[in-house]
Order: sequence, then C-alpha cells, then structure tokens
Amino acid sequence: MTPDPLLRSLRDPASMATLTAADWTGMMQRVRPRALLGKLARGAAEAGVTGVLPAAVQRQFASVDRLCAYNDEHLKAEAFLVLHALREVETPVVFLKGAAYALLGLQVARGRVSSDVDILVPRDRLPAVESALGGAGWLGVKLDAYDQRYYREWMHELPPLQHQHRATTMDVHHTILPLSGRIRPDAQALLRDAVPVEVMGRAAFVLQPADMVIHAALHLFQDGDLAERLRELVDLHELAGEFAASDTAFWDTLAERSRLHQAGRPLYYAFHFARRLLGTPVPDGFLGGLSPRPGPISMALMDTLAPAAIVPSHPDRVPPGAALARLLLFIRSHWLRMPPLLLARHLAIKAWDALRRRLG
Amino acid sequence: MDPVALSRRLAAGAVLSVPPFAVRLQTPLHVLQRSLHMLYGEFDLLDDGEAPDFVIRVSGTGGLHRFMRRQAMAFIDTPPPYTPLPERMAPIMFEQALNWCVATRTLTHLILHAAVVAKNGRAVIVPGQSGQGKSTLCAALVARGWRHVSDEFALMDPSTLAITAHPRPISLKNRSLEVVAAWAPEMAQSPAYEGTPKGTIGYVRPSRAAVESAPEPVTPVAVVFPRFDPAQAPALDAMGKAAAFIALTACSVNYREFGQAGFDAIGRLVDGNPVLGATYPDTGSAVALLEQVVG
Amino acid sequence: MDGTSDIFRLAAPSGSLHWREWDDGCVIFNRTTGETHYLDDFTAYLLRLVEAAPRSQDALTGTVCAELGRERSATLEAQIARALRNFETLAVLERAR
Repeated sequence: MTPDPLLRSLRDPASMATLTAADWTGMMQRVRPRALLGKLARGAAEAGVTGVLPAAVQRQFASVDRLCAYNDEHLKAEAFLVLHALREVETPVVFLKGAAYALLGLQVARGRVSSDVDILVPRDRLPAVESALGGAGWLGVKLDAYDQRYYREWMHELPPLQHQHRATTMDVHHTILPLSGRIRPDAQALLRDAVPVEVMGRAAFVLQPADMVIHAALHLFQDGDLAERLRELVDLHELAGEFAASDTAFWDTLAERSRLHQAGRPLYYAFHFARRLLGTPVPDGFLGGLSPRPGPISMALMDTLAPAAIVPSHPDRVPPGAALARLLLFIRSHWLRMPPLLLARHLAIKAWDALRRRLG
Repeated sequence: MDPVALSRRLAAGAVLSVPPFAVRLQTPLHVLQRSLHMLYGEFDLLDDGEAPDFVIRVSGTGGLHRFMRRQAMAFIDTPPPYTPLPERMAPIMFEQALNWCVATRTLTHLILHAAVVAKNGRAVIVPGQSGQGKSTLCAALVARGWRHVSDEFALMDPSTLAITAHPRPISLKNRSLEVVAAWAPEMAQSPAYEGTPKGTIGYVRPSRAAVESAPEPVTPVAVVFPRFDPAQAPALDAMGKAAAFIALTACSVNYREFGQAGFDAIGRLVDGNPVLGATYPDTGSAVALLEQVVG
Repeated sequence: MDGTSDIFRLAAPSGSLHWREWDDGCVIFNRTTGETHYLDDFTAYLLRLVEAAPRSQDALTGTVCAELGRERSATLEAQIARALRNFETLAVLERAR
C-alpha cells in the first residue's frame, strides 16, 4: 500500500475514512488546482464513506459534485451548439476527451472537473469549420502574429477559440499531435474508425475506444507540462478499466492501434505509471508487446523523474527534486513535439516575448 | 481570546469558524493578526487540526518589492486573482481572498450578491453589486436591532429558498463610513484603510448575536433593490417580475452552475415574494422603508 | 432563395424549453443549451406559435396577421425575420432540411 494519502485515496477511496484532519488540510490544497477533488468526492460516495468525513470536506465534496454535474451538462450543451453551428458544413465532427466521455456517459466523466471542448475534423474542412464557428460566435483568442503562425504551421489545432457570449473555449484539431512532432498518429484512421454518437438528435462521432485511450496517453506524456497530469493518469486508468471490462480483446486492439499511430512509447510510459501509481490492472505481456518501447536509459530517467512531476506536492512543501523534474520533462515534451532547430527558435522567441512583457 | 495567544496561533495557522465555513488562516503579519482580533472577536476558533473548507495564507511579498514598499499578498491553493496591496491593508486582502473562496467554490447554495437582514424572523434580501448601498443599509438596520444574516452573499438553498447565514465584517466604503458612524456611533468599526483601489475601506465588527444565530437559516419575505438618491422622496415601487428575475440572475455568482434548478429557484423567489425598488434620500428613510416592508 | 419558405422548428428535443411568464415579459430556460433568455411579449408569442407547430416565416406572418388583426407590412416582416434569426443563432430554432 502506497504511503502517499492522495494516491491511497484514489486507489482505495474507503481509506479516506481513516485520514486525519491534518491529512485533509494538506490534501485539499494539493488536489484543488489539479482538479482531482471531484474524483475524491465520487470515490468517497461510491465507497459509502462521505458521511464519516469532516464537515468541511463533506461541504467541499458537495460543491464539487455540483460543479462536475454542471460540467457534464455543459459539455453536452456545447456539443449540441457546435453541431448546430456546423449544420451547414459537410463534415464529420469527432468529439474528443471530456466532451466524448460525457456524451458516452463513461465512468471517467463522473467527478471530472474539466469543461473544455475539443473536436477533430478533416484537415481540408478546417477553413469551412472555422468560418461557421466564427459565425456562431466562437472567435479566435487574440494571439500575436508569431503565435498565430506557430499554431497554423506546426500545431495540430487551430488557435483556441472562445465564445463571445459564453465563457467557453474550444480547440479544433485535425489530428491529435502537432505536425512538427516525430510521432505521427494516423489522422485518417482516427476519422475512418470513429464511432457514431447521437447528440440530442444530431449525428456526431467519438474516437473508437483504443484510439481514445491512445489520445489520452499521448496527451499525458507528449503535451505541455506534467505538473497537472495526475488527473490525466486517473482518466487513463478509468478509461482502460471500463473498456477492458466490456471487451476482452481491448488490450490486444490497443497494442495493435498503438503500432498504427506510432504510439508505443507514450503508451508504455502511461500504463507503466498508471500501474505503478494507481494500480491499473494492465495484463502481463501488454507492456512487453508494445513497440517501439523506451530504452533502458530513458526508462530509468523517467522512473526517477516522472512520479515527482506527476503527483502534486503540498504547496508549502515541494520536494527539492520536483521543480527540476518538471522543468526537465517540460523541455522533453517540447523536444518531442518539434524538431530541435524549430524548438530553439520557439523557446528563444517565447523568452524574448516574456522579457519584453516584463520590461514593458 | 487573548490577543497574544491569537497572534501566536495565527502565525502557525489557526482555523476560524466563519459560519457556515471553517477557514484556515496563516499569517505572520501583525496588522492582520490585530485586525482579526478586532473584527472576528466574536467568532470561534476551532481546533488547529480541524479540516478547513478554505486555506488562506496572507504574507508579505518577498524580493525587491520588500525594500520599496512592504506589501501583503494572499495565497490560496491556486494563484490568487488579485494584485498585492500595501502591507497595512492586509485585512482587506484577507476579506477579498475569503470572498473569492466563498464565491467561486460554494455550490451547495445558489449565491446572490446581496445583504440579508431579518426582523422578527422576517428576512429581506437586499441585492446589489458593491457600491450600490446594500452594505450601508445592512449596517444601518443591524444598528437598529435587525439580525445581521449576511452582508455580502445570500447563500440560498435552491429547493427550499432558505438562506444560510454568513455574517462577516460589513465592508463600508468612502462616505458610507461617516454615514454609518453618524447613524450608529456605538457600532465598532475597524480603522479606515485609505488609498485602496476602491478608495477608503473600513469594516463593522459583527456582533455576538449575529454569530450565535448563524446556525439558524432564514426564509425571505421580500426582495428589495436599494437606490440611494438624495434628490428623491422615499418610495417603494413594485418591480416587474421579469425585470427582477433578470436582475437577480445577474447578481448571482453561480446561477449557471445550477442549471434548471437555478432557473426554478429564482422564478419561485420572485413569484412568491414582493420584489420592490426602494428609493431613499438618507439612511433614516431607508430604514423606515425596510421597517414598512417587514411590518 | 430568400428563406421565407424555409420551415422553422425547435432545434432542441421537445421538453427542452421551460417558460416563466409575467406581465413585463417572460424568460425561458433552454435545458439543451443551459441558457436563459429574456423575451418580450411579441417575441415570446412567435416562439409559442413555432413551438405549437413548425412553420415558415411566411406562414408565421400570416398567422400573426390573422390572430392579431394586423396588416402585413415590411416592418412586421422584418421584425419576424429578425426574431427568427436570433432564435436560430441561439440554437432555439433551426430550419428543417
């Protein structure tokens, strides 16, 4: 049994009944910004221990339950509004991540505090999609010329859109990883094998289960910073658990799709850490069957760095290695997304912007 | 509680009961420790180990700023949404941080930006953004024996419409400070903090009665939108229900999150109660109008 | 095409719209979008008509004229067209295809 009260509470929610008030003080601070409070609230409710928790914890759990219920409604409403906005555009619309989880009513959607909408459309439909969304009020977040160009040339999505009246942001993707990165998921296969879903009478799609898991895994270890990533690891843990329970061939399909999308390495990391930190029941042989796999040096490095970066520390007691681990992994995630020369230029321009803002 | 003991506990982190919440505050700043002793003197300290709803730390800013002008900054567990204020204004930082926590993290209740006051168990909701007179009116009524249910947020149960009390130091700005001091010289006020982004700010200390009655919820019997206008005679006017509905949703901080339950709650609130506009040229006539509403 | 013959109908499944009506106007809550809208009496009346039965802008104008005893006029047509367009933007109504 892991000694960290947060990991223990996620793995075994009933154990929350044994936490002391001091444990809770630290825990509430650690999970808030990482959006894990909803998962703890749901876990406690399902384990039937909510009633024995401190009164303040019960109040905060009740509030986060309402927030999660609202987010779930909100994601479905946004999906409806997106399809309404795109009703004149000939395009399949694939909902990704949170919106897909909510539309399918998956376990992972319960207690999940994120309300961002992500859609995937064929690349040649981007201009029509962008213009129809713009007509319905989704406008590009103001970016400077460099950021605009960076997004359009190198990223896998339009610059983020924000609705002018509702406080909603949306990312429109044409594949699930940056075009500049070295891993190239098969965008056509993602679209071709997407699964239909009905959104209040309108037809849309979600990724097939294995692709959904691969997307979550790519996001976890390829994208942005790792500091907020325990929640995403929990997503992965719950997605795989639910899919494997309803489909005995799930892990085999996952291994097969990972070859198609060149996602062996991120999937290896994802399930290695999901098993180690959350106890995900990954079948023997699954990790060994992935290809490509990280080499022994990469693996040793990640084994040392990643847990400190993934598991949120107490804001007042950040362990000495955690900040460095996060920085190294941040650089690594950028390195994975861009060719080295482009990366150097990108970081230099970003640094210059930051400096100018500070001086300005 | 003895001020020295309180300061010691606050320096290490003390848990304060601010009904209906438990708030853990840690601060090394003497100005805030002293102000807590004054403004929260009637509130209870919980055991230091008690699990809190909110964790707030108010400390001096480090680095170069220190040498130029000593500043205070409030830290919650996420990056705080405001800029630091001079250190002498640390009590304002704390009030702002706690308001932010209540407004953004409480979804057990539908929250309206409103004062709530009650006489003989008959509660009136006085909505308004800051600066529209709700706090002044609240302080004036409390000084005449009304129950101080809440001065900033009405925490309403969306199904029963019952309001959970959340009495806090009543925040007064600029001319309101003199108005309230003249109206009720006996009411304890904090020092006035001059030169804040909103002008001069001071607080009225909540009474023991307000804190002791806090566990009892109240049921509203009227909604009164205050309008101070020195050129007008005192008047109560019935507001259109649709207009009142819109105004109330606009002053709710979490209406959206309640979905249809919020829509139904505000609808039942305006259907079941008179919704009035109170126009008044001075404090005396404002209090008389409110007496008339519950009378 | 001028679009006056397109059939307008509710965009959301039936039962999505919740109404509260008062003397000074009405509010609707659209459960499908989570949005609350304020409507004046005339706009609310138009929505009630389309809610009762889908119809074109042309047919809607005809009904309004017959029920309210008004003359068909460019002003009235424009008012109805604007209301329909707003409802379409808000995803309250859609054109049947």
